[in-house]
Amino acid sequence: MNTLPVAIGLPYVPDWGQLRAFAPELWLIAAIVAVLLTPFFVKKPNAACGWVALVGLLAALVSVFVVGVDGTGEHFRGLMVADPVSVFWKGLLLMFVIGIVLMWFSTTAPTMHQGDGPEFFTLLLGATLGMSLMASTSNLLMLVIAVELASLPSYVLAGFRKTHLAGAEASLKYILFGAATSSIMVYGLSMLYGLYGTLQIDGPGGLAQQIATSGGSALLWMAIFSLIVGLGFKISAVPFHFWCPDVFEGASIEVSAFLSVASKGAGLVLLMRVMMSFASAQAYESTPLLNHLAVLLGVLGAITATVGNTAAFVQRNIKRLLAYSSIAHAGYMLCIVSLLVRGPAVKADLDLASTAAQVVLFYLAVYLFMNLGAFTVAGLIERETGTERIADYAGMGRRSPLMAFCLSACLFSLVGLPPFAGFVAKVNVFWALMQNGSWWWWLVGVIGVNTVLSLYYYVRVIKVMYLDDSSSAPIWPHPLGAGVAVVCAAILVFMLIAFGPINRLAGHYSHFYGVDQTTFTAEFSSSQPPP
Amino acid sequence: MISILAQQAAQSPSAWLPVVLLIIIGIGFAAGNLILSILVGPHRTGSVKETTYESGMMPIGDARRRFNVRFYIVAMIFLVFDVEIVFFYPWATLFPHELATHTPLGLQLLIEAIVFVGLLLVAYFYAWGKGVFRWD
Repeated sequence: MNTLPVAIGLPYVPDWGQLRAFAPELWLIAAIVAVLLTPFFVKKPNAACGWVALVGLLAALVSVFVVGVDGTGEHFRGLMVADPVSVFWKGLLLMFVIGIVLMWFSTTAPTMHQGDGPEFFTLLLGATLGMSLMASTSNLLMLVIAVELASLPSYVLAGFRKTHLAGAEASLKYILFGAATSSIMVYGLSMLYGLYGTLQIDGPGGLAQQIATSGGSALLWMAIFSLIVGLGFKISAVPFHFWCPDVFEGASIEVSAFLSVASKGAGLVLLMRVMMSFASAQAYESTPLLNHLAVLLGVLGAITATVGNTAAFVQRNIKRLLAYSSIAHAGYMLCIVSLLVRGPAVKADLDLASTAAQVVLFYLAVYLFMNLGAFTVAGLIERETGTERIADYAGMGRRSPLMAFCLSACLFSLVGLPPFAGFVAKVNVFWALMQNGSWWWWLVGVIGVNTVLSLYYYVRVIKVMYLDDSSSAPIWPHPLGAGVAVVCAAILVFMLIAFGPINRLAGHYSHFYGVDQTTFTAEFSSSQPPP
Repeated sequence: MISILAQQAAQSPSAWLPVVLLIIIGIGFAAGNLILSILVGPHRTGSVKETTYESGMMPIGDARRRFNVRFYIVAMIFLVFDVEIVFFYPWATLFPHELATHTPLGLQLLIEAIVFVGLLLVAYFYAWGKGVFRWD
């Protein structure tokens, strides 16, 4: 009876203490179960499921704050990693999804078929769970599971408006594209496993270290390209961005908003973790592998930003416009990720890798509120007028001054204009790129030109709202959604005023576990609260 | 991307041997099976040979038709139990051993299994509540 366990070695049973670091995920799972059980107790379950999901998300958010960075370290034999970056991302993600649920109440809730609520929120929370797992793993197997857990519910969510033909088309395009890219990614990861015989990316004997000692090979590059294909799909980097506008147009608006931030953010955090592992294992030296990786990511970012911005020019639909705008912003962030693999070697007094991570985290935080606000306003206007065309926004400054103001604030912030936090986020990007110098000046130029380009199409929306007039009747948006939009606009102003502390907070949380960052031990061995 | 690959190829052409081998094996396996079956396989044709199933039932109509959505749902419900069994195999091999050696871990394993089954039962009950098993 006891021979088999002996034969397969000592069983590994993780103790429950390790689960503490993943309390947010456990709350999400509990919320999914609660949402599924809700229709047994409530006659009309849609709104009830929304509230249950909201409570679960709030509990998860509170647990992020309670646990904090206490659980920093490897868990479950390296399958999962908890560290400041993952904590920061989970906090952002949960705040964002709470916003999405509130947005659902004020936009889609009345028109959703009664009884679809449990499924919608199960999928939404399931995708959220996958996206938070994506941020806390450096194991190839767990990476695939997390990416799929984030992707599969997203495919269904994209086509959730069952009576809309565009929704079905969006869902089909999304799933076909996703299946192709993730199969390429899994194939590449299997090559990595075949080459190095380990699933662990960082740590002693992990992939990153073996690559550092053995140097690059052609097969390694094939594997890295495949990984970038898979993550590029989540980030919607340019050759893999085709799903983005169609899905945003076909899906209902809160799903578009959800995918625009959560999917890209999770992909970026995962990409940052992998790149940091590679760079740290090679001690941030200027090796050919790292240099090529930096060029690859930088060029990918520059192309993504340029294509996103130029394609946005001709858009007549607000959701498509925001889709291309989100592609452009993903491009800016990819440019910064290219700095990660340059590390602190360039300037002795500046830990460039940590700085780049900090810049991306701050950018994500700002980007979250800009997009949430813009999508909320678009959703509210769509609900009242039934149109997504930008031309139909004529006279919005008179018809609904509050909505027009909030949308303008978010759009100005997306351009990167001063009274809003988008400005400091973009200044941060420029500053980090300039610190590194050399060919990164090209990226500075590309992003500069892109910012000017983007000014045109964002301001065109504002021009239609304020300068074009129409005889259409005033509209009165749903108060809850209006509240979300106003809060987003207010936070954007607040983040500019409180730039210093918030940027320091992002810097404080910009550390990856198992990665040799110079400031890691200094700041986190004492685990003091941020100043 | 292309330039990096080209540079790699220029630096060490032999490093590409595995990639070339992989491509050859991949194409060779697919093409080889087809060619082999054409070459080796017997070529007897006839009206019975050309039916979809040589033995068994006669096919009724085309396979490209709509199936009742219930079949898919039953298949999904099957997955609920299928996954359960996949998880239970390693669990069942470890559990008696743990129970025999140190009890606290055994109790922990038992609770974990109950939680796992509970989660799957939620999915099952949800499907039941949705009326998946009503066939009329």
